[in-house]
Amino acid sequence: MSDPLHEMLRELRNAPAPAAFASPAAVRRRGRQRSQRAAVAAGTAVLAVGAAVGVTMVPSGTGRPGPVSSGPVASRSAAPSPLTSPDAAAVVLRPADLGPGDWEETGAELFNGPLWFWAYLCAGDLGTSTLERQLWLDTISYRDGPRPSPFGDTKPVYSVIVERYEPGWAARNLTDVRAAVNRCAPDEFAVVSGGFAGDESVLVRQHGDRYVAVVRVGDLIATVLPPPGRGEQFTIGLARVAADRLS
Amino acid sequence: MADTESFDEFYRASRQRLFVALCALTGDAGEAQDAVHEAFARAWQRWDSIRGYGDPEAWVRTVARRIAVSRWRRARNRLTAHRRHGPPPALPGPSASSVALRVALARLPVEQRTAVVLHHLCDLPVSEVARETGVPEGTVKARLFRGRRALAELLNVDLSEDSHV
Repeated sequence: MSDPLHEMLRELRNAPAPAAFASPAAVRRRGRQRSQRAAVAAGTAVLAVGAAVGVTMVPSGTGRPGPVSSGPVASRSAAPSPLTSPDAAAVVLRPADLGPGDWEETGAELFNGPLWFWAYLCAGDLGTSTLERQLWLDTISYRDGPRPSPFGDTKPVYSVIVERYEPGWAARNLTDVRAAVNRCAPDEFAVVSGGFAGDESVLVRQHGDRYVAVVRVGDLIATVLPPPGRGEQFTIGLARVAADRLS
Repeated sequence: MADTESFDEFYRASRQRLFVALCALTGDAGEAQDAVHEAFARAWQRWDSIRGYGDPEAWVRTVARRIAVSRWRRARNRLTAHRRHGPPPALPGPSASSVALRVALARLPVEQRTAVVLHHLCDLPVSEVARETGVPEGTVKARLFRGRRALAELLNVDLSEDSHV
């Protein structure tokens, strides 16, 4: 390509950064600080899990999705979540949760465009009115072992998406999940159960044998995405682990 | 090569390329640079694994893109701060054509913009753009074609030899 557009793009490659790049040592220091913060957050989450297990062994909810609400709903969670920064996904889903395997974090894209997993169901219509209330989103995916070829993934991938909303708006977003599934893709997806974890939860079955669990704890929402074939109970179990860590 | 040495070399070699890509995607040089710094910091946390990947830069690029789009959600807060504290100090600006190109890129749908940036600024072949964005190669080609055509219209440039991709 040798056209004016190509020349403009070439010039853009040399665009100066607004400030000098940080030194490699400064970047490594920032990485170490992140590791320390993550360790503290994980420790807090483990304590929260222990406390939750000690308090209750009773499944929450009735097994059916709750009624549609028209406005923000206050959280039933007793305490604010420790996951207050967008580094949450690695805390919520860990390789040890997935069973034996040579788990490797992947850089796979979970979705493009609007920062809502369910948006693609509703072509031309985002399907949610709450996205502007989303404060941050974090994702992580694990694959069992290295990718076998540069042209595709043949090994199962487990993912989780964690979102935080402004106070009260996560509940409304979960309502939007149910609505998007029912309105935009009733032939491919179906809400099959709910109320199995967190303040609210929804289990969605995709055509075939894939399940997706969405669980809300306070203002946080985790969308748990095991690979096809792992079944309903495994997905629910993973969602309960996620809910405990969000608490 | 020691861990530190290999990371530092990787960082120095790829940071400008990633900055340009993020800047083109977000239209915000400051945000782009910070996202790049943050992505490299995360890479250092996992460098034992990432250094063994076939393309560590792809990992950093994907993470940086996620960071950038997530932060976009918090733009409201920055706008509030801007109104409260006034604009930041002036910096030496880019050229007029760079500004025009960034503005034009910002007007593309995000899927087209991403394809154009990954292919034309990061030099990824169509197959790699397809893998990194999770869509078929034909979709990438269509996005590139439409993206280039839209840019040409916005920038008022002639693409008479537009047989690319």
